[in-house]
Amino acid sequence: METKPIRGEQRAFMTGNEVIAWAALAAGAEVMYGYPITPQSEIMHYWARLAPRYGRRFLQTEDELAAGFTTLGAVLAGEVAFTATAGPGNVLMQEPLSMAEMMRLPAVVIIAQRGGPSTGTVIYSQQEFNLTCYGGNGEGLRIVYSPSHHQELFDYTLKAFHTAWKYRFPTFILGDGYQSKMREPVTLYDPAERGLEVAPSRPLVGVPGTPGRDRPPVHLRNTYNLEEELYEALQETIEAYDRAAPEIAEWEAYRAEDAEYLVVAHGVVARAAREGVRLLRDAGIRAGAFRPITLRPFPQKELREMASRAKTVLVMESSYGQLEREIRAQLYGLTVPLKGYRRPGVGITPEEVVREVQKYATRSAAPDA
Amino acid sequence: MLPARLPQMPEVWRLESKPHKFCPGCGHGIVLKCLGEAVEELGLVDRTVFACDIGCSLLAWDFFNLDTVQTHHGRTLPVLAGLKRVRPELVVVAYMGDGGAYAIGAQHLVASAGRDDPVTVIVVNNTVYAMTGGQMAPTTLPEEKTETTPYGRRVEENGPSLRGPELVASIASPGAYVARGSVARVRQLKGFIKKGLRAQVEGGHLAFIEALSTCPTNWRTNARETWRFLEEKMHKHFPLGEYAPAQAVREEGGGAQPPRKS
Amino acid sequence: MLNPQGNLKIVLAGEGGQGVQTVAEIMAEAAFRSGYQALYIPSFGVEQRGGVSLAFVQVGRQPIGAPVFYTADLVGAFSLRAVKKIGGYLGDETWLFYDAHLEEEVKELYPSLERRVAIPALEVAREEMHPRVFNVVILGALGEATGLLPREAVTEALERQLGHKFAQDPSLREMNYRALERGQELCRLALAGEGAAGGQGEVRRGPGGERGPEKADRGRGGLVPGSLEPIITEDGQGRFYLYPALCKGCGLCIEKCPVRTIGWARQLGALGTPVVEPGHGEPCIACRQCQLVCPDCAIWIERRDGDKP
Repeated sequence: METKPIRGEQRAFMTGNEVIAWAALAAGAEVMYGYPITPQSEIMHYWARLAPRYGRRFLQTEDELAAGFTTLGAVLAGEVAFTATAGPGNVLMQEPLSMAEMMRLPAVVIIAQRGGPSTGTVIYSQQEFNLTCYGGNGEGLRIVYSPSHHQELFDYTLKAFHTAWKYRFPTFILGDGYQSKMREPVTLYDPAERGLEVAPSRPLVGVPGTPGRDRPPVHLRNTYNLEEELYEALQETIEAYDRAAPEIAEWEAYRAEDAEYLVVAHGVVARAAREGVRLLRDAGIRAGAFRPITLRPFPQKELREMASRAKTVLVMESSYGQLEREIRAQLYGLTVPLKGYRRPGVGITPEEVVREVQKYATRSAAPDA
Repeated sequence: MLPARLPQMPEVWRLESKPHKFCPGCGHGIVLKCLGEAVEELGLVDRTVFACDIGCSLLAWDFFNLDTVQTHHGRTLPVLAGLKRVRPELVVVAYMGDGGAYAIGAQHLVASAGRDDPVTVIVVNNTVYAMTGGQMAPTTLPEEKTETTPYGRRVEENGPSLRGPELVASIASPGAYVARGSVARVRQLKGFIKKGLRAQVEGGHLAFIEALSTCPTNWRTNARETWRFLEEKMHKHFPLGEYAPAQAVREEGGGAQPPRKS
Repeated sequence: MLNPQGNLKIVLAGEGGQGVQTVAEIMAEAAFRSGYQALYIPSFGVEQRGGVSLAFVQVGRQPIGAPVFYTADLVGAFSLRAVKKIGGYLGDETWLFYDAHLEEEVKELYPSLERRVAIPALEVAREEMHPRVFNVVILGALGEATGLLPREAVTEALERQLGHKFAQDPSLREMNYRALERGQELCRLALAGEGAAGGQGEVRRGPGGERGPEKADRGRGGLVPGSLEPIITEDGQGRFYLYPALCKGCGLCIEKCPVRTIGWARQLGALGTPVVEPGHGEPCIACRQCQLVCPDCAIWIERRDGDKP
């Protein structure tokens, strides 16, 4: 049986959902368990078709709870496993992911954000920021990548499997319906051929030896009897997360070093921010763009540095202040004014970026004119 | 000083976690004794993964010298279904209560039975949500008093008491093993569990064993009343026996019985 | 005796079956009825019963800030595990009340603690009344120790808690009242420096007479199991192994015994409640029903004729 899905560098023009399926194959994912929901279903479609060719597995479960928990079962067994969901499915997925967070199970989850609350739209939004970063009844001890184009969808999906198993935190690719459904060019490659590190998986239960005789039994739990017991266990996880955070956090800036007007956006909106900044610079306005690539852990230091040099920070998002609240917290103590542009469930264009920045640029320029 | 004689518990019981955390008179200990002996007698200690649900079953998380996963309320079956698919050489046992199996996790039970997942499922039925303090369960008997049916379960309002093995048998694949035992019939219960393990190991099928059990804490019964409630009320409402037993076991003359009706 | 700066902070700890929560609730209720600020909260884990049970009570004149605290003014610990568990709540000024059978362990664990008070509650309850009123003896002692709770208020609160049981069996009321009074007395005696120094009275033999436990006075007076050592009793055709450290006193075996030879013993088990023993009915026929239904593997039957079962 073929084991390497991709040989050499392959230039392709495909949808984001297809990119993700190929990336998971290239990363060596053995298993996808999933439940249909728009706009992620095609990830399953591609995987279901491709997986058997490379000896990989698929199961369509009865709901997202089962998709999440079967994925955790595979992870416990030592397999590289993932699932994908969106919107209301993401809501249900928080239950298994909460268990993954508590028990340090490196499951990978692809989120294709759609409009909300409730069933919302099946199309697009950035409204699953809170849920994906901080969902579940816990502390948000997870890793969240927010890619903004197909190459990153591929690169970061590959990386997500590595990060998950290296640090043992549940790891998300926070995409959206636009990225899922749009086609654009991408280069597919095998990570080993590029010399990329892929952390090995290992079984957590069912390991060799007779438990109780050759080795202690593995006893994994998520319930504690007393407040102090939970606190202690959690403290250990939090320390591990904080230690790993500087190694995981990623960001990208575009002409931000000397920017007076710093546009902060993530995911697909960051593309509009970048293009808008280019247009503004052409018009002589010193704009710049900053995007967190990891939303959890957040690249706070870099954003504060750039924001502290700006006259205005403008947060632009396809949700009603979810990112803005995060940025406000990250920048607490700085005096730079922070403005928001909130378009829940609606896309944002470079023209809007230009228009919004110009509002502030014109105002602040006025006294000199 | 060496003890005169160590307690005669199954070797697979983890002595370090004994006395176990279940209440006095709780039937869980009896079910887990049957399971421990069954796993030992079939020589499966080396490759069994035990998973417990949330509810009183969660207290079994460090019960055995077996690799053990504590999951969420109702979610033990999907965890093991996902695990078993990638590690078919392991023997997996899902241990849960009637609330986890028949209420919050009912969709997983239906789906696993429909897929004939090779998992041995043990559901402890004590007619109440015990860990949360004695509320009504799907299995609460008509007229039975619980914290949420303080005047007795009214069938007109809450429906009749749910019968799990009958439900599973009606949707399970031909090779699946389905039975209902009781902690008042220890040898029979252990036999059912053994057959249930063999159905998974030898036949690659789902096995579903409901164990009628006791909860003196929430029933607020003394020992005599406890046995009486189990043997007189529960046994009458939930007939003991095998339901659509596994083909693999039947071929070996495993004492298969046709489903019995109450 | 206790004169804390602010409110009085009390931690009670015991085995799940010992009834410390009832004691705590009655104390808090008595305080409330006497016009104090009062707050009681159990430390509730996932286990319905079993495990070390902790209760937190605060009583005083000031509004109570938080339901939990870190250093207590008064700690009551009534089992070995409880004694080990409460270390964190002890400060220099803390009074530790404990059952007298735990004397050695308390000395060993907390050698520098000055304010230690041993109350022989278990012994007194067993010898003079019934092991089950152990917690009421404790209630009497601790209520007295606070110096805040009027005895009538404690009695009233006791009635509110247990009145329905007294109504069914009026002799219980008498016994509980006596237990309360004995507790108060024991506290006064202990604080006056008389008794309470951990001396154990002679442990009596079980009701089975010569069929009773072979080694009734093992360890700390045989009161509370410290090891996995069995009590071996020969009865009829059977040799009855009972592991007090595992027996939770559920009584399921008593009801299943076809010759009704099993009954309650004076020995206490895993949860501080009486264990079982044979010798209460017809001689044992070694049918092993009791062993089979024991949820805790606390019983093992061997045939006396030497046949291994």
